[in-house]
Amino acid sequence: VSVLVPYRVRSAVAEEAGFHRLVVTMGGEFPGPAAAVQCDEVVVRVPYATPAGNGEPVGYRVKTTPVTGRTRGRHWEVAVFLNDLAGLSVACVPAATATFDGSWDITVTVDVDRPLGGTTEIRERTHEGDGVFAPRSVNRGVEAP
Amino acid sequence: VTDLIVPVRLYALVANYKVRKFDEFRRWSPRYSLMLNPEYQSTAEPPPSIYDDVDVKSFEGVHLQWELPEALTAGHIDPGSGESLFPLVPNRWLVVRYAQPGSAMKAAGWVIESDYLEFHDADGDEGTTLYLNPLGGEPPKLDYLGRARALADGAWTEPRSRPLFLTAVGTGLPAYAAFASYQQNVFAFQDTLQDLRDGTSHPPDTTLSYAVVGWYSKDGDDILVRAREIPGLLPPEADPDDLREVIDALGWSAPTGTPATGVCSRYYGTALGVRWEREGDHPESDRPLADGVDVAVGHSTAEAAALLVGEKYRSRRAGELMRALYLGDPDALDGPDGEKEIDELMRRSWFRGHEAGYGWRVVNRPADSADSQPPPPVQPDWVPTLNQHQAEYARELAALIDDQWRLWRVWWMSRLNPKWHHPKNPDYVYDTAKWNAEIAAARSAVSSGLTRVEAALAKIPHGDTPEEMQEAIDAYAEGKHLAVELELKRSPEPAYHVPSDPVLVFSGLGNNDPLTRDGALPCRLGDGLLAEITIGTATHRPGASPLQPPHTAQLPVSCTRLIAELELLDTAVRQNALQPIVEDPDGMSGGPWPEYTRVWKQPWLPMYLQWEAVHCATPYRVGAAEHWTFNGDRYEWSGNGAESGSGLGGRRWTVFEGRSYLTPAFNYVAAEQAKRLAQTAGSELASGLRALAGTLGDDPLLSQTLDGLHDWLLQQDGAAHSVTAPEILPLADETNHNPDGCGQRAQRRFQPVRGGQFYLRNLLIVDRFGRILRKVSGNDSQAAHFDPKRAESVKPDEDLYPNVPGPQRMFQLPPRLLHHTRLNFDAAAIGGWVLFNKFDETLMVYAPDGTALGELRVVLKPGGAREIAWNPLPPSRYDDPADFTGLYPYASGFASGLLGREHGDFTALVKTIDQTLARIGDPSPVEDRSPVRLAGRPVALVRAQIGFEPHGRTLTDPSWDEMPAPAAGSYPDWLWTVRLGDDDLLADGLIGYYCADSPGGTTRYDRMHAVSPAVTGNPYVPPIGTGATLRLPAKASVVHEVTLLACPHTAVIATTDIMPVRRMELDADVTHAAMARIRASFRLNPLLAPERFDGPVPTATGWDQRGDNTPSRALDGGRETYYQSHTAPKPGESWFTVDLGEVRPVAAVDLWLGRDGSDYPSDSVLLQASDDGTEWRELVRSSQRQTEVHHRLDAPLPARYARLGYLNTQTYGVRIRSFQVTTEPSHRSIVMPRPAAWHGDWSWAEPSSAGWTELPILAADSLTHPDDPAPVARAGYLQLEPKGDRR
Repeated sequence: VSVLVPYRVRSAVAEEAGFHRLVVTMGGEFPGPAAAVQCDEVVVRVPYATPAGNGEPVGYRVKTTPVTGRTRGRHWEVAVFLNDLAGLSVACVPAATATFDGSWDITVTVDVDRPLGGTTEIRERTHEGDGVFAPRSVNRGVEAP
Repeated sequence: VTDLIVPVRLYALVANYKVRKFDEFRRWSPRYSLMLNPEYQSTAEPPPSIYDDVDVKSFEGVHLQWELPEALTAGHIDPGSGESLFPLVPNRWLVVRYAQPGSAMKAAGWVIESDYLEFHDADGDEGTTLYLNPLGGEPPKLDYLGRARALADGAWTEPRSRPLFLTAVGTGLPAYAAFASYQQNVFAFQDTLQDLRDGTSHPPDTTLSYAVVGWYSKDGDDILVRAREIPGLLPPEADPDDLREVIDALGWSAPTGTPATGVCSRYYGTALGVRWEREGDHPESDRPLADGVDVAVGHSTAEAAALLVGEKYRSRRAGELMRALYLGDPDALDGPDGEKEIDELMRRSWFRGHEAGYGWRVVNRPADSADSQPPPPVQPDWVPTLNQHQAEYARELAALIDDQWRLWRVWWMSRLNPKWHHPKNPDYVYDTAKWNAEIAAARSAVSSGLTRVEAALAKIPHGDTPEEMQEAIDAYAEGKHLAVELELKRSPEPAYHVPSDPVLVFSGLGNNDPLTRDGALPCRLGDGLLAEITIGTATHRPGASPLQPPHTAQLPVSCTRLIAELELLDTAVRQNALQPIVEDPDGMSGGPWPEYTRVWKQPWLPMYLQWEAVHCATPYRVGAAEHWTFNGDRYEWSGNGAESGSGLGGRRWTVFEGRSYLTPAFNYVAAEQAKRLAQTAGSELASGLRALAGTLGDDPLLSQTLDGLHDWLLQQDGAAHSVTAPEILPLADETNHNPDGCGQRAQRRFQPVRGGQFYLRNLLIVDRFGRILRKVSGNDSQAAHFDPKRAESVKPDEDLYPNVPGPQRMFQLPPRLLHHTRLNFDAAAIGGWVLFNKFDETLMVYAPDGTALGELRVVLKPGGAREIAWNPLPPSRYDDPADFTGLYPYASGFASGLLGREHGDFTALVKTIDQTLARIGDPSPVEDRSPVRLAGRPVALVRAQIGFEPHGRTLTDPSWDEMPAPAAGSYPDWLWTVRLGDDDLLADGLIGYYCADSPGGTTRYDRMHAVSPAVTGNPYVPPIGTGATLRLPAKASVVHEVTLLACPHTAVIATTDIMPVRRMELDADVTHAAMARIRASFRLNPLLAPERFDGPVPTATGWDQRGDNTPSRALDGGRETYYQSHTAPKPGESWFTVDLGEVRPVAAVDLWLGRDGSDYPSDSVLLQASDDGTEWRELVRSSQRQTEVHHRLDAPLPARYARLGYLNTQTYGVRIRSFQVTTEPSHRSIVMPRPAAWHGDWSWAEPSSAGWTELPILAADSLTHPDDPAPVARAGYLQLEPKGDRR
């Protein structure tokens, strides 16, 4: 099922040499008319160009823009998982259910010390209106700068 | 009520455009949601690589943070629960800002409700920081803490009355009180300055002054009231109702006039002259450039800091002195073993100890005066039993802890989300049945372990508090009817050790704040504040109606006075006059000066160290091949065996990242050591030390261990997680570690025996506001330029691969057991004594009690060969060392091993003994004066046991691929070298040792491994060298037994590198008693001398006898023959009596009872003497079991008879091996020129049919003695016996 939250996936230059940056913006203006979306989890899987080999540790940095406010999930907490040798997963979880209504966004900046490649998989747990949370996902390529 | 004004430091970080844009920040928040979310179960704090972006828009303004006084941040252990508790802290803070955005001054104010809980208090406002509600019970509930109310929005009144909970550590994160990111609207506040806009889009440029005033919302929770609840805070004599004494105990100074009661604490700090220019420059701060920061790395703070001190003063000696000062003993550097001793202390600091249980002993209760202390008591029979029970408890407890970890590990991992944690490899299968079975087995093991521990505990005295423990000990001792002059004592067993994590020390980080305040914190009273200041020639005083924020009427009364003081100081700010006043407050101000007042500067407050270490294992052993070699001092890496992988250089790398606090601990410890030493130093040195202590605060070194490195190598995570779930808590108990199963297989690194190299790929210093300094960053090529100072102990022996980039930044981790282990090196027994008689060129061999056994000397055999032969020495009758193998196996082994060897071996041995003794310092001047030293120095043959003892079970790999029931690895079988002795150390007493080829084997006495052989190439005295003859696995069941030849007064050193150096010392009481009996014997052959005799022959009678063991056999001088009674003696009826034939002055009585050795000692002896056989005088009454009684009379006692009886009824017949009554003078003597008697008594011993005849020497004179028999040619020994005490 396709995602409800608008996402933008861009590449950018990382501050630290040797790192490759992917910037994922969640929320912001909806591309068309939409109701507010309730969200309690977004997972971004960032694929590597080639899987990490044995003894090739993956270095990463993940920063998120701070958000405050009850409708924005209060604040978002991030966990990174490396158990997949082909890519890292960044789980972004609001402390309270966040309501994406087009008026705000949150940006996750992922720096990885190995080349990135392929499409970014985004999975969310969301619903609209009075619905129930359901998993949805989408694969996104990097947008043109 | 009087207000006590306690100063606090207030920091103000200006975040203008350039700071926001160009400064780097690392700020993060606790992840309590993820921690409590079963989907994630993350750590409470994010790892260093996850952080909040500093939002360019929202971060603008002035960020204030105030630092609580030390007394409010110090924790204490609750004696009941054992928990760390912290005092409540002020929960209300007024923030006041003065600004002059245009022509008029403006005052703004906010009240910070630090302990506001959004959900709990539920009055509509949002809280600020995610928090765990401490008032919400279990399970923990999320809430939001802290809010700020602008006074401009209306009056503030105290909103609620509920229990206070806020402490400096918040939810338990130690950084809570210091890291601004955790504390918004708690102890920190962001002033956005938006209220200063006056129709403009941005706040105008202006100068700002701030003050904060803090208080408790409930006076009853004020620290001045609650301090009495802190155990040990108030001195015993202090009156807790006198608040002046409480203030003093808190480390604060109460001003004159402080009343004893009715005082509330208020907290006050200022930031004056904060320059706000939105588009202005980056404000100047103390943050240095990365190039100005030096980093040293070592295995301990002392080691690394010494490098930086040496560098700073361009003197290695300076570094060594500071290292010695830090370690506490700079005087040692001037000693003969100075550098070695300091080096050993430093190596000790490479390890940390782990409690190892206790042992029990009965000791004398302390006597009133040291002189009257009796000798140590004989241990009652129940003491060994108690020690067995204690050891059983320790074993069971260790097993239980292992089982609890086993349970926790498997339980925790089984509940992790497979999606995030299991290896995403097709071959990985999680076998649910297997995991459940293991959980059940672990539960069962813990349950039965708890029962066993409880049962073991019941057998030993125990209690939860020191008082309960002492009560239990006293009750136990009373139950055993321990005499009142004795007491049962518990003492800790030698600790187990694990290596400490490596340490980084920094200089030039630009922080001069000391670790702790030196002297009391000067407080003021609310009505005794700053009275005036001088600006130019004008005197300014606080206004009666200062400019205040609106709506301050409901605030504590002191707020207005303190705002007036802020106004006064702000006046100086605006006239650029504050700096001279701060520099000379006594001259330019009146009234009590507010502590911490200074002109604002952009703060730089280094707090955290964050690192990313990249590690490659270079294992100690791979398969059967060892890749590290012990060189006698440390392990060296051969360059082989490094783990291969697809990482840089074809190696397998893993990454360890972490974060921990920087502290100026080195300077603090060194300064405190200097002060301590100054207390006992001479005046000149003391003043030098005090001056040094004073300057140590300048440019302090900040240090930090790479916390958790060794846990990480064991795949354990010590970061804070959620509390142990109630369903498993009763079994698993609280744990502070979690297993890391390494779902990312490439990060598997389980290394119970550490060994590897690492470099730092990222090294950041983070300050309280999250501002950072990058010391190392970027990709590998940039990090390769990092050039730290490296202690010798961390410099790699070999490169990990050819042309490794930046070899100067690589650090070596030599092999260490990460399993808690201790090196046991204990004397099992004194096996005998050896004395090289320089005059006779003989080696005299003595029994453990100092009785002579024989001598080894080189003799010419028929045919011209020269070999080592044996002669018994008086009183011994052993014609062959093999004859006393049963009694004295180690002395026999030593002597037998030499017997028949070549002359060269003898020479090599005695020269080695002689030369080594010449090196060894002799710290026992009393025995140094012994006359035996005329012949040589006695050395001890010591039987010792050496072994590694790991604590608990073998460590196992928690990787997913190994779990749920990982197999034990092979590391417990790996062999480690123990090198005994140290040729470079005067304080090492070892000459050499005899050992088996392998642990548990038969000791070989055909070669002595010598510390420093005097002859090279001799097969009997090979060098110990690197110590490779003693190799042991780290298994408690494997012990090497060795026989040492060592100086009895000097410790023997065991060096392993993998453990702290271990010293083995002999019990001085035992050695002293034995050495006092050692007599030097000088062979004399022939001696032409007559014997003179003029008295009756003593006779003996017993009550009956068995076989031909007549009473006279107890008088024949030998201890191999004996009197044996047929029946058991009856107390008061059965006597063994010696009749001297006439009344003689009796000087001593010596008894040898029971069988030789320790079997069947006699007990309850009663020794009496009489001059007429009717009236008896008691000499000895003893209820102790003993094989020897030696009684010396203070003055000779005239007596003809001496008799021995028994106090208790005996079961069997008794044996008396020797009953020797010494009279002074004797009747028999030999006439010869008597040697000088300066050092002792000379006697003559010669072989006789009964063994040996020992005669005193009567000085030959020029008179005629017609009654003397004709002189005969004699062969025997002149014997020198020490004077004085012969215990």
